[in-house]
Amino acid sequence: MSNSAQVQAKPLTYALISIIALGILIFGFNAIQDITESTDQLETIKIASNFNILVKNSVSRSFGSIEEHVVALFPSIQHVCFVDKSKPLSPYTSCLLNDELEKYPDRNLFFSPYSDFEPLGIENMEIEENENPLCLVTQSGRLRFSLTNTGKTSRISTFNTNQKSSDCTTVKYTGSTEDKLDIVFVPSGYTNREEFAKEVEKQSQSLFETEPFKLRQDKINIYRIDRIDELQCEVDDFITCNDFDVKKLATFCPNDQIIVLVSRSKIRDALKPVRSSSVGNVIKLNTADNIQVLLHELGHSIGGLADEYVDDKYYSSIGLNAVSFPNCDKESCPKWVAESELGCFKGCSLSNFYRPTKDSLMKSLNEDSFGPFNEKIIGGRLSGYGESS
Amino acid sequence: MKPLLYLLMLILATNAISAVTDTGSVLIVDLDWNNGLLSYQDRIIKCGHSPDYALAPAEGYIAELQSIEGKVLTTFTFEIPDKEYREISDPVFKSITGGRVILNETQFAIVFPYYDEATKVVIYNPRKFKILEVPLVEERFVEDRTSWWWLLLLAILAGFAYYQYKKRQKEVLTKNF
Repeated sequence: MSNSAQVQAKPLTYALISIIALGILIFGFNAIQDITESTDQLETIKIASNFNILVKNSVSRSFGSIEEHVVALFPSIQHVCFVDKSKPLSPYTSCLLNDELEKYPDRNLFFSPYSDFEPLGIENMEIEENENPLCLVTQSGRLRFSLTNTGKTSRISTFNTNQKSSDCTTVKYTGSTEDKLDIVFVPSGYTNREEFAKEVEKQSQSLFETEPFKLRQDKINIYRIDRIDELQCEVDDFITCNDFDVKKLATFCPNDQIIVLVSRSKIRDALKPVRSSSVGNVIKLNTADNIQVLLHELGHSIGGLADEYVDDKYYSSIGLNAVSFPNCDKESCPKWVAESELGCFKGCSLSNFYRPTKDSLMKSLNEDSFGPFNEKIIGGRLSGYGESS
Repeated sequence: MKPLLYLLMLILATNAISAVTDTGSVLIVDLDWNNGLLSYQDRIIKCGHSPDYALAPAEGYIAELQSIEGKVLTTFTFEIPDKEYREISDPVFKSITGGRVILNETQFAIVFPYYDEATKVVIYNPRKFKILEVPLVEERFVEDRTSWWWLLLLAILAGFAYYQYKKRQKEVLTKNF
């Protein structure tokens, strides 16, 4: 070989050796990953076997006996979902689990992240109908659950509701989402799931005690998102939430109307009051405020109603044309004059416009109803939704 | 030989089309409205539900999710959420104060039910003029980029092998002469 050829070949040889060494490293890394994944899979099979033994032992005990167990799992397992296919399943507990259920119709024990672990089967297991599927969060790689002997099977549950994991919790279900007004409550500023759930219950009750929602309860589904750590709205004079973040969270449930509940204590709110707000289909509610504020905001959001309280200075400065709203009219009220039960009262956002009733939820919170005209407007907006199916 | 085999396997694997269900996923598009101008900020495709838009206004901006052939997969009307009610109640007198604020700038998101065939989002103003188009194509081709390393490695190996072959040929020819 000539000298110049030798000089040329050496760097190329070193480059080739480096590339081959890099290739071996990458191959080696991938091979180690594969081995690790296989080991993990073997371990999950062992976990399923352990579960089956625990369930079998529970079934062999006396009827009604309850035991609590703690099982060690991989730290990488975030949730464990138990599915009882003999009972109706909530389609909203876990969005991704629904895909897994279709892929593995004969399995009832799923580990999240679902792509990393193959699901397995447990025998003689059952779950209560109102929490099926049951998804539990692991803590430091450990899963805590209870087994209750129900005779021929063992019911899996948990004493710790904070451990339950659900993309979307159904509060009230009346029928298919295509036919119903789906309202979803999203938390911000909560540290406790039970507190959020209680507030949702309180707001829902207030909603269904008020017409036109009371009469149309069977057109409305209510959901809540229990992920209390994920949305942080800014609270100043009013509430500001990143709409992209709100929608990312709210879309875990059906969401025709989104209500962000912002947790605030009454004492803190008395020192620094905060305004609730409504824009598009999103209401951001200060929970320390009057319970009827949500109803007022729904009047704007669903009914498209204007404020019936008067603020001439502000509304004239923005050039509001109150007549463009269904519940405000000019003098003599031609929009509703034919309806005998209605009047024509001065003041609707601006003092030179008129409203159909002396008082209503769109004027003040002294009145606990929208009034017959506003009820008809809101009811009309809900008419596109079907009866219970 | 073996690296070549691995490379071939990787190419086959990465070219496999992964099926995405056309139900159960949503596309959320983050938009910014600034003094009459609408611009795209971000998007995400995730498992979830979209609204049914039964309460959508009869007129307004139109959002369409289109396929590569321009077929409209889903469409709905929306209003720019630049009018926000900000209100508070008085605990003693139970009055409500506040009002409707007009925003010159706002950030908001719209939600589509997602389809595999979707390649772009198109938004029209109330006069039906197209004001924004957001391509989605690159979203569906997020592949394992490590496959390109193997192609590069193969190219370098092939190039070096060819160089060595040519060099030896030259040497053989020189020897013979």
